[in-house]
Amino acid sequence: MMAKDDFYWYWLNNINGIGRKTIENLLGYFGSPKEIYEAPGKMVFPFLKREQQINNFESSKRESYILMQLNALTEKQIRFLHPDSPDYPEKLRSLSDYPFALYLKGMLPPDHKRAVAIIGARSCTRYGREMARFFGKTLAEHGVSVISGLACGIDGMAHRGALEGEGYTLGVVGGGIDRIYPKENYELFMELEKRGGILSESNIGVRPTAGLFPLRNRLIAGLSDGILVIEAMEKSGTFITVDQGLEQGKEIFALPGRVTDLKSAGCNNLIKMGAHVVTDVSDVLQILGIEYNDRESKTDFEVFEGKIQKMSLAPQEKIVYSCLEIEPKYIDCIINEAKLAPQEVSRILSELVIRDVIAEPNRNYYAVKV
Amino acid sequence: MYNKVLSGSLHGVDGRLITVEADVSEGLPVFNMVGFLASEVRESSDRVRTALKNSGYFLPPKRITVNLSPADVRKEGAAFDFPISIALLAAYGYLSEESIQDVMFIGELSLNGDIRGVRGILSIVDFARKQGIKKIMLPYSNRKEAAVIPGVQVFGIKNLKQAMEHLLQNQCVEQERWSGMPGTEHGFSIDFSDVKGQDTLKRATEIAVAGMHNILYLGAPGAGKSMVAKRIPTIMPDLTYEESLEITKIYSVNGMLKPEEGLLQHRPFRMPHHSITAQALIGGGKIPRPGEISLAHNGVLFLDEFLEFQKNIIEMMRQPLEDGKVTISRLQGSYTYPCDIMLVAAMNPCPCGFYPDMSKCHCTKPQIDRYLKKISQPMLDRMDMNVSVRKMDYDALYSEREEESSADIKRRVMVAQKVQRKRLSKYNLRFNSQIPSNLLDVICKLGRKERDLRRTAFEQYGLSARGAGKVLKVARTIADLDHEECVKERHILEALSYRLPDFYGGGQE
Repeated sequence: MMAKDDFYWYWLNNINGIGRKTIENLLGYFGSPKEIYEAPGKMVFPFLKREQQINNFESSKRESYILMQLNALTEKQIRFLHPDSPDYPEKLRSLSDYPFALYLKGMLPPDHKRAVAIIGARSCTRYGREMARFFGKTLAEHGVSVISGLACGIDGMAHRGALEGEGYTLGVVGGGIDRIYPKENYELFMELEKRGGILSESNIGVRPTAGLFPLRNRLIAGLSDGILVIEAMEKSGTFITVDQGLEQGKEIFALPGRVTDLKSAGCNNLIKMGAHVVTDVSDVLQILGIEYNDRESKTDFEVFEGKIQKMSLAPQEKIVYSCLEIEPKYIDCIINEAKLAPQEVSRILSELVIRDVIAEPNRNYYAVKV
Repeated sequence: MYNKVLSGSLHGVDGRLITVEADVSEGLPVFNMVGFLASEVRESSDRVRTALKNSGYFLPPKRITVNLSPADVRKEGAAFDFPISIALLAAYGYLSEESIQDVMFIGELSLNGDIRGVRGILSIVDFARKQGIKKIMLPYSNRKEAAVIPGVQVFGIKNLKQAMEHLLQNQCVEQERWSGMPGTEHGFSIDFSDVKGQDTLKRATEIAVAGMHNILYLGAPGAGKSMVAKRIPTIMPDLTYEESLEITKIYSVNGMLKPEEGLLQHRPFRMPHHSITAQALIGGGKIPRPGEISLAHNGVLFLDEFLEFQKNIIEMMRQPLEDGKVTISRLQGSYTYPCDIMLVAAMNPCPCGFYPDMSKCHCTKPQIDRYLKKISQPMLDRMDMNVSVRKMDYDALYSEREEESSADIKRRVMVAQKVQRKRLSKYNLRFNSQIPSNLLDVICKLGRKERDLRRTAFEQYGLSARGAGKVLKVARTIADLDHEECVKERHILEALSYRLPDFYGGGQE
């Protein structure tokens, strides 16, 4: 049976043209949505500035329609949360502009566990992608909830990493939950529904417009204890999240990059301004006060030299392997560096790809596996 | 008085004998022409009459009937002017019957009596030789082309007067003789050594040429895709007489031979723009003419900006590419043109062309996906190999390194092709790329280790059956270049790096 609270909160949050500010004012005066609903019109109208708002407010009080919409949500297995819900995320209550409505598919992050937001640019290098995946995975393995924005690039890789690490991960999106954006993350959406959660402040059907993303970013910051920035240019939407996080008093972590690397400029800037430098997952865990399981992650993050030895490569294969980096390298560059015949190099590279030692992210571009 | 002469016309790339009969009799003065004629042939009567007058031959007003037989074949083209005028002159008694017996006449007339060149001479002359004709009189500008055919006396005639002198005063025009196939060192103005660096691209191209595999280049604009493609004919074996004859015929039919040109000496390189229509690529038209695919016969067809070509056109290329010939059917009959080609295609990896160079490429992932999805399965099915090309950096571009010349590469290619021909001749094939899937296991025998490798590669790369077959064919060619009778692991491994991408199943990370 649906709680009566849900009804009033849902109604209040879905009146056309009435936004958060107005709702806040109304709540401040009346106390609860139920009272607003039952209050006579002339008491409410002073809070509404435009005629259109008054019309919308009047016509919105259609009980059957509201109930139908709430049922539709339930049918789609989407839960509607509001500040009076028993499982409204505690972390969000401390926000000055905490959301009055949340739509959730899947599960919420467990309250007793620490949560880290892994964020970064959509357009990123392979280094960024691999690092996002690595941190997503190892943090998840240490029981940390991984929160991100379900975008392409860093966000998506962080979620994938967390799923690989069999941990909990939450995707916070700008538009309605049923609006899968970007399309390429379709499978990730499906997976998160089952094994994690997808959260939005927008009702279903709302298109993900640019204005919604900063609002989403405040939720990402609010739900997490620390924010880890993997890769960001100097001007990036990522910093909205970071600013929100700073306001809310969260720990900020940044992965350093090369000085010459434009895609890491934002991260390096953060470090300059006092963010925690992260070179290993233990850096994050220590500050969050989580015990660091030393042995498990070290194998993953080992220097490549040691790795080669373990893989028992032939001498020529070692030469070719040592030419590779984390960023994909074109085959001719490898040929030049290894000083071997082209046919030799392509043979060795194919062999290493087949043995899963290296990756070929693009045709004839090769990179080490992390 | 009645008389007749021999002439010829084109049918596809083959010739056809046409007999031109003329009869002059008493009656109302008319000039009648019959025999299923196209309008350009019908107009011939005016040209012939005026040209004869201007050459000094007076035709008394009589009833003239000209018939072109066989009457059930449609006659097209302007090449009948000359034979008609000769038949008329004979019918009026200016020429004796013996002087024109067993001589073939071909040519268009100008009003002042000059004889103009026509297209398709080579095919007609070749056909005439097969029919046992010994003497042919044809336009002066076509003489070199016609002289290529042995066993026929070819006379290049400038105008009607000269033709009459030749026929009356016996052989005042000298017989045209062919100077023979040009030497093997006959120069190209371009060479592979012009291409700096690009080792992988060159290596892949060499393999592709050795086995006549169709290849797809994937790379940024200005990386050198077209540069390398244009040099492919320089590393292909020299044209044999037969091959050259085949190509020259096609060019002759299309009227693309220069007047002083005999046999074509270089393998063709055709690079049609992507706005090309199906008719222009495959061949067609009301009177079918060979398309680009046939003009590239025995050479290279290079499709730059492969994605911009219409899908249905590429689809249409399937049958011709498999059969090595294209057949165009029309109401009047079907025409067959050869098209044994090596297909080379080039495309950008993303809309801006610089992916995966992230410092330059600003395309988003969906943009790239959308772009690559334009390549359809039928397009990919035409290709055997794929290689990525990257723009050269300064060091490689201006290095002092000595680059291999076309002659060196050509030598290796020729050896590999010879080996293939020896192995494949009993299956009636010439190149590894032509091996059908049912013969693949017979011709490319694999050892146990190689079979294991194929299995792992199949799974690791998610190859399709077709994809795996193509890898094996390419591996066979690599082994041939390596002088190995059996396909070894290393050959398969190298071939794998030229495998076709799977743009649908996440070929790119």
